[in-house]
Amino acid sequence: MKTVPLRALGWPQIKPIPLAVAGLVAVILPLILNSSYWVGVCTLALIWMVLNQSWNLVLGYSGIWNFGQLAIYAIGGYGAALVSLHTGLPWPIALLIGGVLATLVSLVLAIPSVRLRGIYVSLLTFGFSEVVRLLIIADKTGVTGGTFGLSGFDGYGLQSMEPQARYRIIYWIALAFVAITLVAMYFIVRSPLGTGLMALRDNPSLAAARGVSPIKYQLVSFGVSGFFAGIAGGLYAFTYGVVSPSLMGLGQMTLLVTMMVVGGLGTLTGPLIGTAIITIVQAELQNWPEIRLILLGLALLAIVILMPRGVVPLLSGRLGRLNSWMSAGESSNRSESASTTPAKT
Amino acid sequence: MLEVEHLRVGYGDAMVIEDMSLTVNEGEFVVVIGPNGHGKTTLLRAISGLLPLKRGSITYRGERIDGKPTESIVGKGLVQIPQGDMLFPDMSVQENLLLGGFVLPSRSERLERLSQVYEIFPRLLERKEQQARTLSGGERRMLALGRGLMTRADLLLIDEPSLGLAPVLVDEVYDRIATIAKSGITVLLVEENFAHVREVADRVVLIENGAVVLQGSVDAVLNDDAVTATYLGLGGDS
Amino acid sequence: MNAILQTLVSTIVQGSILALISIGMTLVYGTLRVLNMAQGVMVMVGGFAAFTVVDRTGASPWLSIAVAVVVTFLLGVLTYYMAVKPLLGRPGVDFEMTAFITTFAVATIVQNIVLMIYGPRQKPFDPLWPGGINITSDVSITYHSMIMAIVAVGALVALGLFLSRSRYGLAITAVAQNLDAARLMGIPARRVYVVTMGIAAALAGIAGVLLAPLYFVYPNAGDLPLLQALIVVIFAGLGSVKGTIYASYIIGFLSAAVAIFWSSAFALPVLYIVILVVLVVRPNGIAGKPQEARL
Repeated sequence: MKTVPLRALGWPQIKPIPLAVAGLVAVILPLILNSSYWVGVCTLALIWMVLNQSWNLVLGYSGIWNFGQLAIYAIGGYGAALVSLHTGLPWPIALLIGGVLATLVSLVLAIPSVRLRGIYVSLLTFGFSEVVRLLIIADKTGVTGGTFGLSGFDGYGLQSMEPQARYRIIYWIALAFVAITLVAMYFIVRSPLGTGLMALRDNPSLAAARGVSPIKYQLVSFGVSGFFAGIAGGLYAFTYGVVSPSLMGLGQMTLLVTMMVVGGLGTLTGPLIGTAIITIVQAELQNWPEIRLILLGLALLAIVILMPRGVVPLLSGRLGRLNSWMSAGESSNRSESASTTPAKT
Repeated sequence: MLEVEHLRVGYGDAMVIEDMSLTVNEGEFVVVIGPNGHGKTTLLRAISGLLPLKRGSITYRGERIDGKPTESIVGKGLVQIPQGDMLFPDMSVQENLLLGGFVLPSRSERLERLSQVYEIFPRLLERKEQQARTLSGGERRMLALGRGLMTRADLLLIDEPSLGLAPVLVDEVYDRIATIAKSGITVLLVEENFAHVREVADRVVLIENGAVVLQGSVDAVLNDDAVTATYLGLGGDS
Repeated sequence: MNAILQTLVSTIVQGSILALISIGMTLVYGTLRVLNMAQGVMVMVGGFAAFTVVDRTGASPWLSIAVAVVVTFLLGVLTYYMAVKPLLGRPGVDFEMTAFITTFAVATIVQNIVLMIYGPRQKPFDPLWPGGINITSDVSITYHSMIMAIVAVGALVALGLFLSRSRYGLAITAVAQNLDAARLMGIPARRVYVVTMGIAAALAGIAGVLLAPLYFVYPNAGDLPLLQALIVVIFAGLGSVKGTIYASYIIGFLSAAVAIFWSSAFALPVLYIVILVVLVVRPNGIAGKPQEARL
């Protein structure tokens, strides 16, 4: 009797050894890297990993075309920054408040979105993102600092520390949040919530018939992803000491979507791997800002056209086939039915 | 004129037609009958290039047409009048008809064909400025037929002309079809309801489960027990 | 009274320009089911094309409109080949979302190429006709605004005639109404797609030239028009040409009214809240059409 492999259920598999190795490397990385510049680059990558994991929950796992995540991220950042600036609360509380603020905004955005079909959601959310960005740029009241952003807040409060140690601690804080987000995502995806979301994504009518309430599940998805995006925003604010509208916009969106697509939407490690790859590419091209974005745009085009499922499914597909080839004794199940040749219309 | 060989067609991974072969000779009126869901519409969609083939070939006048884009197939004279009319709902009767003549090289030729079609379907002339979505069921069917006639069709594929129409209207529709066929156009018609087949067909093909199970002259097929068996008491004279 | 008159004037001018930009989006969505996120950069490129022509050759700004049309038309065609054609007919891929991503990838690419060539600074562009007239002592209108309205409306009327009278225009409308039926008429769907994207871009290009004297010519000049076009098409419902035109003037009116009676900074957020409400009440927009797969 053939048993269905867990992988086929769409559940993420923990591969403990690679995960432990990666985790170990990540922790000791700032000790190995000599340049603070590179530690900074890696910290930014970690922040983006938190953001992309959150975005992946709503875009990849829930199949909701939310293109407003950057505004949520920025709002979380502004929230944390404002708390830090105007109150004396400790930084974890500030981050939390930023996260909660982002959650609330995300839920407000969710309310019209859950009733709409695909493309209208992208219109709505993208529109929201742009409106927020333009509003902040036009802000003359000084609350958000307008185009130049908000700065002068304490953040982590490590100003008195000497630079190298400071950068390391900031890095490790970010790393901790990446781990927390990863664990959260893991449990969500494996939970009935996660299964329900994926069912809604893949076969909405069937899911509805089985009692999965689209509105409830999608609201939760928006809420949770909003929270982590807000945390990411707060991390950004406290790492750089400034938060500005540059967190949003077409260029940023291209960058982050490329990361998610490269890694693989709807996979657990996809956002992590994609972010890592693109950050390295990004950093190398730091000196040529316009070419960087041109190449990114081209890369996004190429990936979406050639490898729409991203790197992770590609690799796990290959590894899977390698495994079954190696364990061939009985006839291995070689047929994933060859995709039908589409008609050239 | 038209040769379909060992066709295998479906949607995604689900095959509707498993292995179908049939031929239509020039000037013939061939009717394909069979219960719904067994491949009749799929067959016509495949011939017109709307569906890709998994296996098999379709040859028209000696030339392979499978895999070719729909517009070039239409350009060769292989025209389909699709199931359910597929009219352009927000356009007028006349605009629908003129679009039917899209492939004709000149405006004057289009207008000429238009007047010919209006002769066959005078009721369309009366309603020529009316929006297609406001037409009655019978009028829509006429419009679909008329639209299909606007091109210089040599082989006409007609998909379930009786669908959704009251019996009186079905009579009228088949009347027109018979007239059209008499002008020399080759016809491949598919129907679930074979009440009118006797009056128009030269040859009948019975399909079941995506394959041909019987073909021959009208009497031979319609009197055969296979037909009743296939329809399992459904269809027949409804 | 004066405020009302001013609002009316602004409505006509803004609404016409909005229509010009948004109608391209509607056309492309109607025929291709693609939300063309590159529409904004088409406006920007139109402005830059005109600027380059005037700047390098000193030719008349009117000639620059023609050049802008050609350049943006070609860019629209190029966008089709880069961002849309590779996705057609592919199984297992969510066409609409993927095309959304590929078109905004193209938008980023184009924007940064322009940035690389021209630099980030705003470039000036002279109005097509200097000066203006006073309708009353408090209400004035520039000649350029009048020209904007006339050209925009003229282009829209020409488009309308094209779509409803000409063979190719009807073909485009047919593809938008029923793709399979259109193909069965022998209409070459792919060629229709190319032409539609070209036309949509060209219309945006015209708008770009008209807007250049007002908003200057700079690489991010397309951001706001894109957002405005999105607001209009959400309001109108994707795919409805008539709806888009009505919506453009309504949005133009709202925009002008808020700017005149309140403050121009609030125009955008008010608009956004309005469409939010619209979407809650009518999830397909005012006149939108339900989804059909594009293969």
